[in-house]
Amino acid sequence: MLGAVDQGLITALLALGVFLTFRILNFADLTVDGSFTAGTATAAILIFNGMSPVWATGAGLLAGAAAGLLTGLLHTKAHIDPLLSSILVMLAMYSINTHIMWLGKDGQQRTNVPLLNKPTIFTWLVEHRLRGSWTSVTLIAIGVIVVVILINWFLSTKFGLAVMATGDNPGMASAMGISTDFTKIVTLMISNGLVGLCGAIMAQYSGSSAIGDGTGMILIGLASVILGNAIFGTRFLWLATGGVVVGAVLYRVAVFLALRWDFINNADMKLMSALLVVIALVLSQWKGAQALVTRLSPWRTKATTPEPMSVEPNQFSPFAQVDTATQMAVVASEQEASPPGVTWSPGTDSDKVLGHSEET
Amino acid sequence: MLTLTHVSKTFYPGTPNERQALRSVDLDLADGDFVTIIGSNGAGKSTLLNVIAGSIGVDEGSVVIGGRNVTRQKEYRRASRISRVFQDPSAGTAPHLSIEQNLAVALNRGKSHTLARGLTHARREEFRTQLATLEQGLEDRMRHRVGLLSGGQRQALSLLMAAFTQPKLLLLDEHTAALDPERAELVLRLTAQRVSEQHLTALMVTHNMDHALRLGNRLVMMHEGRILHILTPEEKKSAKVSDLLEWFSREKGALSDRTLLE
Repeated sequence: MLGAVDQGLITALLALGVFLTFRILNFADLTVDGSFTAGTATAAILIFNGMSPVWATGAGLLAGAAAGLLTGLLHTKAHIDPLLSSILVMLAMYSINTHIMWLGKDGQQRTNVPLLNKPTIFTWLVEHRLRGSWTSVTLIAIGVIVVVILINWFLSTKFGLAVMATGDNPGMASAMGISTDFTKIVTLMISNGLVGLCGAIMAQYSGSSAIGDGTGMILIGLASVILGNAIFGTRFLWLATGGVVVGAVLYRVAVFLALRWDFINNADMKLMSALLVVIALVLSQWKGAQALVTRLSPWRTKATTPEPMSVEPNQFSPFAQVDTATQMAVVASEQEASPPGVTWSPGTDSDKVLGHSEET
Repeated sequence: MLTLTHVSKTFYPGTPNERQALRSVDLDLADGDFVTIIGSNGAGKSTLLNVIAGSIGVDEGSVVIGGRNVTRQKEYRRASRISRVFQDPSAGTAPHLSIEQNLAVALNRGKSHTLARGLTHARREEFRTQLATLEQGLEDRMRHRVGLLSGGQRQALSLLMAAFTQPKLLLLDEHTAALDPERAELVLRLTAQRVSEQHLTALMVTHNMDHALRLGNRLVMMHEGRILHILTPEEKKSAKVSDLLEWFSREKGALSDRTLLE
C-alpha cells in the first residue's frame, strides 16, 4: 500500500508536468509517453554503465527536456499543430529511446535495462528495507513538495505570468510584447523535463527500464490532473498544483487496490488505468459528486447565484477546464486513430461544471 | 511619429479570392496627433492597424515608428512602442487571469520577462490607484478573474493596460463597437481623457462618424484600401456627419470614373 503511495508521489512529477502544458499552456502535449521513456532509458543505461545515480537522474531530466524542445520547435518554427507535433515526437522518441538503450557498454541491443544490484538513489532505502515505508513516503513527499513550491514560484514570476498569458490568450500575449514561441518552448521543456525526471526516478524505484514504459503515461498524468483539480478546485494555484499531487497518489492507490482482486492480474494494468480515467472523468462531471466536494471543501464558498461568466466557450483556460481535459484524454486514448490537426472545441467554462464560485 | 509609405497588402494573391486590402497607403502622424479613421466595411481600416501593429506583414512599402523602420519587425517586438485595444473585449485581456495579473503582464510590456516577482505590494498599490481612475469599482476586485467582468469593464481595463506604459503609439481598433451605447460613451470618454492627459499619439478606427468627428484632431477617410481624404484640424472642426457622407459619395463617384478610364 505504501509502495503504491511511493509510486504515486513519483508519478506526481509527471502529473505536474502535464498540468503545466495542458492547464497552464493549453497545449495538448502527448510527448509525455516518449519523454517518460527517454527519462527511464537514459537514467537506466547511465547507471548500468556505472555513472552515479544522481547524475543519471539529472540526465534523465535533460533527455525529457530535449524531447519537449523538439515538440516546441516543431510547433513554433515549423507551425505544426500542437497535438500533431507532439505525436510526431512521441513516435520518433520510440526509436531514439531504443538507441539510448543500446548504449550499454557491453554493446548489447536490448529493449530492457535491468538495474539489479546497481546503485540507485533508492539504494539506502532498499538496504534498510524502507522502500514502501513511511520513511520512503516522507522522503519522496518532501522532494515532490519542493517541486510544487518551485512550480508555484515559477508561475508567480514575470516570466511565469507571461506563460500563463500565452496559454490564456496568445493574441493578447503577443500584443503585450511576449514572445509566445519562447514561452511555449520553455514551458514544454520544463514540463517534459519533469516527465523525464519522473521516468528516471521510476526506473530506479522499480529496478528496470523497458521500451514500453511510457505507454499510457499521458493518460495517468491527465487522470491525476483531472482528479486532483476536481477535488481541490483551481481557485488558487497552490491548491491546483497540490491537488495534482494528491490526484496522482489517489490514482496509484486505486490501481493498487484494484489489483488486489484475484481475478485481476498485471496484464490488466493498462485496462484498469483506462477504466480509472473514465471513472475519474465521469465522476468529475457528475453533479452529485461536485456538490459533495463543494460541501466538504472549507476553502470554497457555495455557489448561490450563477456567475456572470462572460468567457467565450471556445477560450482555452489555463485552469479547471474539465471539458478540455476530457476531450484531450479521450483523444489521447485514441491517439492512434485520431486524425492530424484535430481542433479542440472546449465546452462550457468548467468553473460552472465544477461548481466553483468566486470568493467575494 | 508614425510614417507609412506606399503600404500595400493583398490577401490570397493569385486566387479567385484575391482582395487588395491596402493600395499604396501613405500616412503621416506627428507627435501627439489623434487621428480617427472611418470607412465602410472592407475599406482596409483594420488591416491598416494590423499592419502597423505587425500582426500582418506588408507586401510593399514601409512602416516607420519614431524614426525606426519596423516593417520587418515581429509583433511582440513592436509591442514596446505600440499598444492596442481590440474590438473584441475579450481579445485584449486574459480571461482566466486576475485583474492584477493582467495589469502585471501589461506593465511588463516591452521589458524582458525575468524571474523576478510578477506582483509586488508596491505594484498592487499602483494598480489600485490606476483602476480607481476608471470609476468602475475594479480596484476592489483585483483578484477576480477578468472573465467575470462585463464587456465595458474589460474594454476600460484594456484601455488602461494599453495606456499606462506610455506607448509611442496607441491603436484603437473599433474598441467601442461591441458595447452598448452607454458603455461605448464611457469608454470613449475614458479614451479621450487618457489620450489628452498622457499626450499620446493615437489612431482610432471607428464605424461611428459621430465618434470620429468628436474625437481627435485629424480624420482619415478610407475606401477600398485607399485613403480618400484626410481632414485637417481646421476642416475637421467644422465638419458634420452630412459633410462626411457627401465627401464619400463624391469620392466614390470619382473613383469609379477613374476605374473606368483606367
